[in-house]
Amino acid sequence: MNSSLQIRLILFSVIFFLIISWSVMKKAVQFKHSLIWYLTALVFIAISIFPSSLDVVSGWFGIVEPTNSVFLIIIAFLLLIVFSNSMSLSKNQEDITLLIQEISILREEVKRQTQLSQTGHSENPIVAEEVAQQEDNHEN
Amino acid sequence: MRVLIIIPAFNEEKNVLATVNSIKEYSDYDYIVINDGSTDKTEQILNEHAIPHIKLLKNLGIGGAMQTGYKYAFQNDYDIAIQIDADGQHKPSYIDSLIQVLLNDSADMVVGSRYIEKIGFQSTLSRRIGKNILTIIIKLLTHKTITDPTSGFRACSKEVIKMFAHSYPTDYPEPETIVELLSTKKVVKEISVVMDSRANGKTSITPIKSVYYMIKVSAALFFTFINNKLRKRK
Repeated sequence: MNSSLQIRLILFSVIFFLIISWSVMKKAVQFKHSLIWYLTALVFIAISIFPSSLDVVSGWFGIVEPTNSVFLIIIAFLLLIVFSNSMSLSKNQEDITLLIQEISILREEVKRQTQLSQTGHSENPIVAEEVAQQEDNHEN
Repeated sequence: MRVLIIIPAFNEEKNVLATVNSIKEYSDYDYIVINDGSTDKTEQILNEHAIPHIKLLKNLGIGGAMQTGYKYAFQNDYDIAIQIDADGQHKPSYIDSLIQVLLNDSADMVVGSRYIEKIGFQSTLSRRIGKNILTIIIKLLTHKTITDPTSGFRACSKEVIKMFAHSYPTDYPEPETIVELLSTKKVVKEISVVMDSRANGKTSITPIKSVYYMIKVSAALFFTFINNKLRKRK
């Protein structure tokens, strides 16, 4: 690899790293979600500083052209990131479902209590008492 | 003994009132409609007739809607929960038979099946084939015969209400809950019922989607079974 290409690759990797850090600082990405991106950026920086490390990877997998190892590594990280996204999506979906269910049940309960207290026959003794007091005040 | 009838409803403006009225006619049990984020006049009808209901803020699908009902039953300490569709397919006259079997045979869940005596509305051929495949899969996994695994007409014990309030399948809840209960050594019984075809409106499953549906639901059943087996070993 010629040195000018290597310098550009190092530069891009570092910029990539900085963008991630900036996003975390701006809280655009939660820290726990940024870890896998940091790992990716560090691996990119390591590869661009030590391109010979690609030959080691190529050797393991019997890849003739080291460029293909770059693709392999990138794809592996992308798969990891996409899968972790699926996991947090599922988790979010579950949490949202729980919230919708609990809020909907709560709203129904509040509505029922309000209706009961308006008619003065609340199951809740405290509410019933308050209503009775309010009615007394009105009469006075 | 407190019984709650749970009626999940999504865009059932044409059927929901008739269903609720026929339930009131046949029983004195508490009932609650779960309005699953309907976009038609369902909510308006429920309010106008002062029908007890929970309005879900967003459409959750049958799984999320039914779980809301079980959560409500659990939080209000009901002993038995009945699930009955809002579309008028299920006849409320069978509710007492469901409860009888649940109590007398100490079952954990009782399902109303239209395929035991094979009378009344038997559904279309393609859906019957699909249903048979599900019956075979359940038989292979759990060695139990469930003739109507997709029936949404069922009664659950207090223990099962608690289970479902905590965790309920989202995708294909009817067959999945059967596999879930059978693979955790719960007792699931069936009784013969007669069902009507839908009074009004279209069924939510279109024939084009049915093959895809079968593949997905079969996979879901395998996963449910394997999950429960693994959990038990731990």
